[in-house]
Formats: sequence, C-alpha cells, structure tokens
Amino acid sequence: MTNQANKQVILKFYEIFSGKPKTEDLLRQFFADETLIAHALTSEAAFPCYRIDPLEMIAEGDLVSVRATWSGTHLGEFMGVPGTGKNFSTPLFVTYRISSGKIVDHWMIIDTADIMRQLGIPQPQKTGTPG
Amino acid sequence: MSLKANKEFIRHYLEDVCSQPKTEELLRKYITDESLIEHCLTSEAAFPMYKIEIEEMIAEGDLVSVRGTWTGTHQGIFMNIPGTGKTFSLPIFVTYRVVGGMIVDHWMIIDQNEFLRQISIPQAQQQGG
Repeated sequence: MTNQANKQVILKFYEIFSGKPKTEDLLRQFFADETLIAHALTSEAAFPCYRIDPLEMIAEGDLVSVRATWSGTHLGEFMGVPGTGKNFSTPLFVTYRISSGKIVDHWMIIDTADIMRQLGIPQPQKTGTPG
Repeated sequence: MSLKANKEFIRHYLEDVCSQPKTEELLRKYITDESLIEHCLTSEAAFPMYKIEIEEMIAEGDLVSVRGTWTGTHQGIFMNIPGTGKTFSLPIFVTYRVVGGMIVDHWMIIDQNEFLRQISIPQAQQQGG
C-alpha cells in the first residue's frame, strides 16, 4: 500500500470508532496489535465512546504519525479513580505501523497530568516541557 | 528542501544543540520559532546539557515528526521546584515545520506525570508552587 493509502486506513478507523462503542470484534477489524487492543478496551471502559480527531498526519513507508485531539467523558475507572462524569480534551501523539491494511504496531504519548487536571483528580504540580 | 534533507537537518540540529550548552546564539542558527527557543532555554537552565535522542523520524511535505527519548538531570529551578539532582529518561514526540533550512514551528508532547515520577518530588514541594 502507498503511504497515502495508509493514511486512509487510519482516517477510516477514526471515523468508524470515534463517538461509538468500541468492541473487541470491531477493534480486530483494524488492529493486529494486542497491546493496542488492550489499551483501546481499557480506555473505552473508562471513557465510553471516546473520540480521536486527527489534526495532522505524516506518512512515510509503512508508518503514519498522527497529531490528534483525544476527547471523552470520564464514566469508568481511570488511574484508580471512579468516573467523575467530567469531560476532557487533550493532545495525543501516536505513530502507527500499517501492514496489509491493519495496524500492527504503535507508539503513543498522552499527557496524563493534563487529563487529571481536567477531571479534577489530585495530581503533581504542573511542569513545562523540553525543547 | 527534500524530505531527506529536512530529516538530515533535524538530525544535525539535535546532535549539535545536544552536544554543547544550548545558548540563544546556537539555537538561532536553527530556529526562528520564538516559543521553541524560549522552551529550549528554560529547559537548558533546569536540565543543563539535556538530550533528545532520535528513535524514529517520519517526514512529509515541510513537516518532520520525531519520536525520541528525552534525558537529563534536574539541576536548576523548574516551575519553582529547586533542582533535585535526579536523572530522567522518557519518551517525547516533536513535530517540526522546516522552511528554508530553519525550524519555523513545532508541536510537542511528554507525559508530565511520568516526568514527575522520575524526579520523585516530595508531596510538600508538589503543592508549593
């Protein structure tokens, strides 16, 4: 597949899953990465029907790097804290490796301190980021 | 510049600025993005000689996305927290926009909770700022 086709795989995945329930059967249509399946199911339990809205995608070879906004409502347990009913919206950076139209590996960073601030969960003092 | 040239530029930039003290004069050889220059100088004051090591780079158009490892030692005051002498190593993503051989914009993320875990700030200091 071309790298532009790989972008379309990711866009289709976000379109199908954002704002909707994420079941294991549905995830396996797009994911062949067990840690990502487990991560998505854990996130779905804490933040049902969470969204990922891409802001920018960079593709090269079999990799697609995405800068996105991750948003949802805290209804299940997150970092040991029961659902607060609060909404959050936070930056998400993730790189996916695509093979034969499926996500086979991923690397992701979210700032959990930013989410905890938005949910009102006690957390360490704010810090900055490096250059 | 080509995609390959943009990647080589970013690789050279990170190798050069991470191999010596990050002065404003040095940073301005590579960066016109004032917020990035300010971030680098603030970080250098708190974590002298910090490094960003590249794990992977992806380029498209005028963008270069770096997945890296940020390492350093907390020696200076950072957000009112005095240096702890603790070292840290954590994942970082940075996307740079490169135009005319200069970094003109950037987007960056780390997990701040992971950073604070590694420098192990006592609770009293966490609430102090």
